[in-house]
Amino acid sequence: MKSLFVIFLILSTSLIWKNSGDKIFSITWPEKTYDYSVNPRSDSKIQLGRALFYDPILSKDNSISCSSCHLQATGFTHVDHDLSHGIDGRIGTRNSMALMNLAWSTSFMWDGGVPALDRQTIAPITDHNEMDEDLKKVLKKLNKLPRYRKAFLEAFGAEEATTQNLLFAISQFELELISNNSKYDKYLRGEAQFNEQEQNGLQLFRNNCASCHTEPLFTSHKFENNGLPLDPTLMDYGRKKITNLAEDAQKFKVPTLRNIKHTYPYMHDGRFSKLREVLDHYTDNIERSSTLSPQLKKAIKLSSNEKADIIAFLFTLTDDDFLFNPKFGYPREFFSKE
Amino acid sequence: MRILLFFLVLANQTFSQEKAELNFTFLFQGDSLQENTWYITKKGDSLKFETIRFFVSVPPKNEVSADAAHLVDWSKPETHNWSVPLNEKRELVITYGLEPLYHTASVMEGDLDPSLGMYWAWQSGYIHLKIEGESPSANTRNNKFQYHLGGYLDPFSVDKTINFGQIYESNVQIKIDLWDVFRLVNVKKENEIMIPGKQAVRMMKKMINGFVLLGAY
Ligand code: HEC
Ligand code: HEC
Repeated sequence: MKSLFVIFLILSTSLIWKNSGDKIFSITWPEKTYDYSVNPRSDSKIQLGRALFYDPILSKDNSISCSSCHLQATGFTHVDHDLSHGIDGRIGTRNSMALMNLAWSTSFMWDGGVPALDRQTIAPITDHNEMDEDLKKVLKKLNKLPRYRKAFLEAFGAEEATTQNLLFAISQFELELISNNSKYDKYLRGEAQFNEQEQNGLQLFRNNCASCHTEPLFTSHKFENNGLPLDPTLMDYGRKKITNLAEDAQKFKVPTLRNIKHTYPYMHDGRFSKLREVLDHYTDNIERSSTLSPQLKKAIKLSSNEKADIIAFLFTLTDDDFLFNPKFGYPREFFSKE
Repeated sequence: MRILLFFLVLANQTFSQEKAELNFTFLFQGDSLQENTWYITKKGDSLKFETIRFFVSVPPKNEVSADAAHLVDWSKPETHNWSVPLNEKRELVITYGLEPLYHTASVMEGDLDPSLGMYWAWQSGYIHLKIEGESPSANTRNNKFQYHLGGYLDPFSVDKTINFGQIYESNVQIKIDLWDVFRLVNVKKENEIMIPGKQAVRMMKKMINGFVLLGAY
């Protein structure tokens, strides 16, 4: 009986996973985790949040905005340097993160230190290495501007910006940043074909990577140690800083791989600038520390061609409708009024 | 129908009376705690207090409401009184600090507004108890001591929920005697705690001894 079941399992999985160009409908999107009941979706909130996201008014010297580190065309991360830069050119300790499909996330930041999207924005506004501005001062600045008074009134029924409403508005914009129209998505829906290399890449990916970079979001939302040696100049132990537990040392949140072609450099400290280096890491340079994730204990073996195939597959995760969606861009109209 | 309505009103009224008016007083060895004044602790450290702030709250059932949390600030007498509903059994149940749900829910109004200086942005979460001041025993910049005690993740959460039992008078006094708060604290050894963890949990346990409910009066 048991063996029959196993055979059935193998058969059924191979049926699903074997992708001979057939349509594959087996991957469904999970429910969103964001609780809209406390912050119901509305267009006026989304537009206000979008304006705030692009407005350097949120920083002390009015020099940088969220979008300085989270650029749309690069999957809402920034690509020119490994560690993010804040005002006065101060260097942060981590690589910026790509922002997409946040409505499904269960925690935020590389170490998951922020438990709710609505609370995330507080960090860049008040972190000394980022925007270095006090929330109260931000509210004061916003409340002086008629265009924001009007926008807050429209969105929340009150002209005066409060911490709560400021955070709710930015969340609303971020929640709109959904990437689900890549070639991969079209392939799953039967609207596009994969070539042989991409198909082979998908297969290899599912065998070696998908336990952490789980479809369709390409993250399990868990914390894992993927074998990166500790950078002695940063001494960043990741999740351990939050939980104070030795077993969490060097664990980081599994990042999504959607739009990965454009979101370099890679890893929490931006140590790799090319996907090839990432793959070389997984095959050759895994550090065997005590917290290494079990999936990586057995060495991953990939030939040079197979690596190229995986990369070809990863390129199918590029979603131009997302990267160039004018709804997510700089809100020229909002800022040109007055 | 009318009778039912009458009972509803009655029930509502009695319920609204079932509240405790908490009053917090700050003392040192029984005398009112003064600003710009040097005090000597049991361990022999000289201290001058600048900031004493802490959260008290009602443990949330499923949802957080901003009225159920209160920030007491030594420097703001208007925060020294707080009216708390008793539970169904007429018991006074309060938390020194904030239970985990307060840190993860999206309610950030009232005293839960993160702009009030009791919030850690970089790792997220409210500071439950903040005590700052000066002491020659503290070998730090400007001899400052700073205890920012917080943390909501097990096993390092520092909130402490206490059921004080049934209360029959509405006025309840809680005294915070800094002599007792610092009775077990060695300022020479521990003068800066700014992150959650073992040390914060231990310190909270020591300091909470100085918070005493005088009972209904
Ligand atoms: C100076 C660069 C910089 C600025 C400005 C900045 N961020 Fe970030 N952002 C980062 C970095 C770096 C991280 C990762 C931080 C970490 O893990 O500690 C991050 C992480 C995030 C995350 C978490 C994503 C996830 O999947 O966990 C969100 C959401 C976010 N930022 C939104 C914003 C918003 C909204 C603003 C403007 C209010 C903003 N950021 C401003 C650099 C920046
Ligand atoms: C054990 C879980 C696990 C497995 C298996 C795994 N990864 Fe990762 N991956 C992670 C984690 C965790 C990170 C972030 C690590 C960090 O920054 O410290 C990551 C980061 C990455 C990044 C960088 C993403 C970014 O935005 O910076 C890429 C690309 C990547 N992985 C590709 C792969 C590929 C390809 C495979 C299969 C060959 C794979 N991963 C297998 C856990 C895993």
